[in-house]
Amino acid sequence: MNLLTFDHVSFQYENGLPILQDISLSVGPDESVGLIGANGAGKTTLMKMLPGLLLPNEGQVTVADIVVNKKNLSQARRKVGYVFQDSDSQLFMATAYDDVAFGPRNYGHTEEEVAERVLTAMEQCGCLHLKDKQIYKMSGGEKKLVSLATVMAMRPRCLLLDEPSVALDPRNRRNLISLLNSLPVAKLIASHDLDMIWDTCGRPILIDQGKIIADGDTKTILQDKELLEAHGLELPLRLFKE
Amino acid sequence: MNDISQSIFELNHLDTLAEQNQWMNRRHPLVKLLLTLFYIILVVSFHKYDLMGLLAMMAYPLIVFNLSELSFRKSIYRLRYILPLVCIIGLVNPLFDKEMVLVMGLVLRGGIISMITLILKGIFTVLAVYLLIATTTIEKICGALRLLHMPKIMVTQIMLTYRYIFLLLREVERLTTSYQLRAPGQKGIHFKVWGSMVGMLLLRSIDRSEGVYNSMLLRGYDGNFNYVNRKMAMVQTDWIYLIFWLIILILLRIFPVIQLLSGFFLHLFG
Repeated sequence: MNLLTFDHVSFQYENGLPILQDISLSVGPDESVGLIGANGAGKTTLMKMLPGLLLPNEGQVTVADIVVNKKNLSQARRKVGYVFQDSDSQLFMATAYDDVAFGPRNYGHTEEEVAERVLTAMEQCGCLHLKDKQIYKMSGGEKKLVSLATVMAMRPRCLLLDEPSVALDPRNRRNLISLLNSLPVAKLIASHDLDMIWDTCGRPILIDQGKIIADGDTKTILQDKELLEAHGLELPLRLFKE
Repeated sequence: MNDISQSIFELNHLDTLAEQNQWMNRRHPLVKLLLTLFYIILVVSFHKYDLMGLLAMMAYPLIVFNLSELSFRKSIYRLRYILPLVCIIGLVNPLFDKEMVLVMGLVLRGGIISMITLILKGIFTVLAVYLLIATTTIEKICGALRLLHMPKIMVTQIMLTYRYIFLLLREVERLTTSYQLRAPGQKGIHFKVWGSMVGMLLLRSIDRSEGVYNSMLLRGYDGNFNYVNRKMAMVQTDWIYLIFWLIILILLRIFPVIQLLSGFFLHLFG
């Protein structure tokens, strides 16, 4: 059974060029899928359709068998956790604890349950030591971990990560990769960082000009130099070294 | 630290104060909100020449400052940009109001008295609001507003406006830093780029605030602050605190307390 499905989805802004064209894909409950493509390929737009931040002009998006439309938004949003590219958009409370607790509190959990969820999520994401720290005093790497904890505390079935390695130093990036590999949920990761996709995803999907160009196993797609270069990407750095 | 960084720091500090676990912070937000509103209404209701009556209302901020364990000096420093504005409003009164009035046995020019009362009214109301936001987080204030049945959309506006100030200041900081780095030796920002900078600021901050709002929506925000109200039930201490201050404030408003006290002491020592 699939967790996420796009069924002939197309999208364009009013009076704008088509951003997504006839996209059909599905993601299983334990899969880790990478969305790769050059700038403006449509990766973020595609991701935003899953929690209903954007709704398709044509076709249908489903999350855990729930059709994403205006009626079902809150149900669909409970199933997915969206980590924004810019952590400053994700974090808006005074302290890390309050930010991570924001979701569980809104979903009506008791304070004991909220505390349990917050502490578990922060421990899972390796940021428990930051729980009382103020957001504005955090580094980029710390903010990224707390951002991840904010969605993990809601115990989603699928994580959506938009450029998760942007602005991270090599050590934080490495930690994030280990963390993502350890999280027991489905993942959809949009990134230019093909090395990260190599390390975290079993299946990359290449998008260009709003269309799916390739969908397959990691090694086949990420080692195909011609394919990547034809769509504005380059081989992962590790393959250059080899 | 430049002025904008300082403003961001101070705003964040206000958040930190509100997050503390002091006795005053633990009082129910609805109680604090109602008392603040009631206090402001009473302060504003004083006649422009009733200086002595108004001075008695100083009791509320002074006592609440002590209960809140806030530094009065630092708080006044933090309000340094607002208080002069409040004072300026009253400065024109002596020019127009030339009536003579009797205050504590002294005949004084009405314009001077009305100027002082206007300034005091401004200072007291600003202090009352400051005390509310320094001891109550914005989420709790919004939760209290929802308990008063303020429409969701207005409460969300208040919440987002508060968060928007942070975003706006951070964007201003980024833009001005970027400008200054490319215009070394120049004082301030040249007026020719004001237009484009304001436009850029608007677009960027709209983008950022949309991001924050989306992040809230994706984490179950629906315009209600049920969790705040669920978490904070009114306890006996809240009721006592509310009733105590309601009685005291009404007494301060009705009776000329300062005159009565000064008369009492004059009688005692005279």
